Amino acid sequence: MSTPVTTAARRIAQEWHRNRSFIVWFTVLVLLIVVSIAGPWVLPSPSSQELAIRLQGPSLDHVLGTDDYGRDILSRVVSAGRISLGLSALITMLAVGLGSVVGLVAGFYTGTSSILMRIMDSLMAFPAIVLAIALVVALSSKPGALAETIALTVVFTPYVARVVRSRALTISQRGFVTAARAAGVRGVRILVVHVLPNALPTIMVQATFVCASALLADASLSFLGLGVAPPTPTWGNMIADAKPYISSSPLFIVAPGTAIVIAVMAFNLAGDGIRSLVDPRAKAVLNLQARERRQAKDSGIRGSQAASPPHQ
Amino acid sequence: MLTGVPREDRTAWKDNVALFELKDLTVDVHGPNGDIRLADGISLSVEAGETLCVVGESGSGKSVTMLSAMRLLEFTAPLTVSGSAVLGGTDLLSLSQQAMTAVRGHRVGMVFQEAMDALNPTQTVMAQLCEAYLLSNDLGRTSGRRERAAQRSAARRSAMSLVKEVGLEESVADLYPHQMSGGMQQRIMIAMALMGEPEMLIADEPTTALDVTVQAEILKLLQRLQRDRQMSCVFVTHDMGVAAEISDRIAVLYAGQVVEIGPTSQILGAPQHPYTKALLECVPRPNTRLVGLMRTIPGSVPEPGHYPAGDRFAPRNALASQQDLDDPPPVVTSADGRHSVRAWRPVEHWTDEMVDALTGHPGDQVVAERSRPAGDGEPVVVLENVSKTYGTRPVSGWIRRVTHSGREGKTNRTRAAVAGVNLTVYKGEFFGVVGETGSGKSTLGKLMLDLEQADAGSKITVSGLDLGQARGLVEERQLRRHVQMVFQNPQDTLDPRRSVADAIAEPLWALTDLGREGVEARVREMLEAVRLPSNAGAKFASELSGGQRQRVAIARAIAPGPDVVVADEPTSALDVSVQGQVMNLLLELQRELNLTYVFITHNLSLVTSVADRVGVMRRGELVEVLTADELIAGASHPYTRALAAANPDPFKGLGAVASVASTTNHQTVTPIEEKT
Repeated sequence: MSTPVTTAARRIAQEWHRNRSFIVWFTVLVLLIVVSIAGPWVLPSPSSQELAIRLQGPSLDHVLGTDDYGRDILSRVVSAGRISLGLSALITMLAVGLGSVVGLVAGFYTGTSSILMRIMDSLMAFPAIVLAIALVVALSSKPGALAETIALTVVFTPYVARVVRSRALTISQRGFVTAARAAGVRGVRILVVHVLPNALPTIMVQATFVCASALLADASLSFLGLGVAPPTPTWGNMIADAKPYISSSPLFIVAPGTAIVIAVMAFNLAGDGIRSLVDPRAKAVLNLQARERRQAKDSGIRGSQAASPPHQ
Repeated sequence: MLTGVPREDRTAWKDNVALFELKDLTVDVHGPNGDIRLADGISLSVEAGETLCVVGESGSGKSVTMLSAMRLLEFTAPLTVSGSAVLGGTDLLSLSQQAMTAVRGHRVGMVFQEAMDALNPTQTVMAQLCEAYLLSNDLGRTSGRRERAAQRSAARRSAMSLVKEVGLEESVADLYPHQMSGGMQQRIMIAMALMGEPEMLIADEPTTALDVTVQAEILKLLQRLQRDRQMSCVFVTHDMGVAAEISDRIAVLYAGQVVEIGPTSQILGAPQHPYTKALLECVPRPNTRLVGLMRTIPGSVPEPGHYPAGDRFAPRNALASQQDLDDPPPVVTSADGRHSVRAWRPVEHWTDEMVDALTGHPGDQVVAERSRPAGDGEPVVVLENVSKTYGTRPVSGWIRRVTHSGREGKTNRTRAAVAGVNLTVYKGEFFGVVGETGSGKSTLGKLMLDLEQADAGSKITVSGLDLGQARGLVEERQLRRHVQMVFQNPQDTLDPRRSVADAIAEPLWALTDLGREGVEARVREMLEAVRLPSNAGAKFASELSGGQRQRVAIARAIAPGPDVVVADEPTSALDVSVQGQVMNLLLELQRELNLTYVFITHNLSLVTSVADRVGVMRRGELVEVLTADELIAGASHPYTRALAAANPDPFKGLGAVASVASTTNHQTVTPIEEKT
């Protein structure tokens, strides 16, 4: 009767009524990723220089104009997206993986928490960007993607570990964990089979948050010249390059800046949407809001007649 | 003052005039997939000075009805209420929320189930009572300092007199809620509800979270207050015993409708709706041994939004006709208008056969196989001088000096959950453990499974395995093969992210050497053993009803083939009509698999009816162990006697009632007792 495709379509339609911002921003996120992956095959090379046409405004050949070496800004922004999004995805995976393991272990084996969580606390005691800079400088004489990845993973792991630990702590108190113990299941298996799947929604939401933060941190580091080095474009080093020309050729700095804003917003708002999908309380609030919207629309159509139903 | 009639003239309604009347009250909650009707055309009335009990199982709409009539439900969910709810001439449904606040403060007092949630933990009880006084008297808005001081002392005086009226000492008023017991908290809630001197008190399951002895005290208090103050009272409960204790009239709700309403003696003694009859039959009777299987209603309570078309009870009613299944029945009212039944053919005469058909009672053929002589078997669980002490671990060294300086006394405060228990449970026995909250009965069960470790000097032996020895994983597995546990709340003890088959397979993977096929075969076998359909394996716990979930939990416990099953309140989270199904399953499994049960419960009637021997626990100590027959004959320990006396009994004094109600067939009133 109902194929998977139609049920999926119905799910999306239902979600659209309830939670528009999630659908919108999730689409934006998917678009960003698709463009970053496919873009460089279509667009001109981001590193082909034409000094004759440097710092030009938008034209048909160069939609967003050219930079100080006459390179196409659009293709540089797109291929920078590849680096920036790719790096932040990698950092997110590492930090979320490491943080989840630490958090789950600390939350489930409460005895380890005093050591593991104190390490995490001491890492969190430093301002994130200062710690990242210190680590990048300490890790290698020549900054690059590897040093940046390690540094940001270390910086973001505690944020994940903390949240996951508190979730794991709650889940460990639940009846089904005791029941599994009574059934003779070993500790590690309980952790993997019962605690982890139930903590997964929390971990996913935390991942979107880390991804947005990693993107910003990557931009900051490469702006300071501590990330991926030019001529490979990143959004951060493009902004750094464009700084001298901010008044003469504003599009040069606006383009990567806008890209950062859109990407960070997409991650944060899609993350909120995911939370509302997995958290029943957030879901209830959304249902209520959707209902109010519908009522407002209905009463708009019917005029003043249904302004205040007596038993509402 | 909002109403047309001044408060002094309350007595004007005294004579058979309804103080509070619901007419066709219908509540629709707006969900994402359309509206769900929670209450469907509820009509009932409360006369001045009368107590009406609204009785129903979970999902019957009993709380929804009262909360939406008081206009409280609309704060928590988007809904439409239609019909009328009239209190002393005022239709509450047409009032503004502001006017309703005044009604709730002055004219109706409300008491809820969880007193702890309703009290503010950061303020003393006195502060909260004074606030209630100022609110209910529309005070607290003046600016003059002297006036405020006068108001405050008036509030204190009034609060103090109420604290005494609800049976508490004056010193209690300066405590914080967490420093009080559940019973004391509930008394404070009642005092708060009385602050505005209401004409009517609505109590929504006020004693459900309390122990039976405390419940009995609270019920007595409510009765006294109601008499002294000439209040009307609406008492929402799921417990027929409580209803029998306190009500003048009873309204029975099922699936969002009133199925029967009438005087208490009529409802309990001569019910005319099959559901009322079946529900009464399902309540285990105090001091009665079960013969055969427990009475139960097949199926489960329908969920809101999925109500059957005709008589809503018809699908679970073995006596239902085609008409019952197809067409909604009319409300039939007796000549004097005191008794109404929603049925096509109200039953005035119940025969044994009808009751047996209705409650799935299989008759006498299993009687002989049931009872099992205790004491001559071999001991399976032996506890010798077992204690379990909770408390702060002694903190040693410099940490203590830093963190606990000057608080020596507090750090070593300990509490014995179980103290010096000696107990032997024999093979094949159904051993009941009864006790109130904090008696250590659950801890005792966990000790038997090594889920908690006993204090030094305790000796626990289960199936010949000594739990006191240093134990590794191998010994742990060996123990779990012999003893398994069924927990109280199946909702919580089944992982929401794992299927039913996964849950049942869990102990098999952990404890046996069966391969994939062996495990799958065993899971199918277990599903069959607990009477679940074979396709239930692929479902998740959220897709099952409460009774089905507990069946899954039982299947998980018996899957590795244990000798001993510790069941910790396995039916207390279930509806009475379903409780029997689960108990019968446990009894049948015991016979088939030769199991030994340690059955932990607070329900004395239930445990006397099914257990071979009963251990009574109080504050960690095993007060006495006696056979069920000895318990019925009269316990020796005063605490056991107090427990038995406090146990609410829907059939208390029914013999006298039965002779009054002419329609009652004496034979059918107590069929179980006759058979013993």
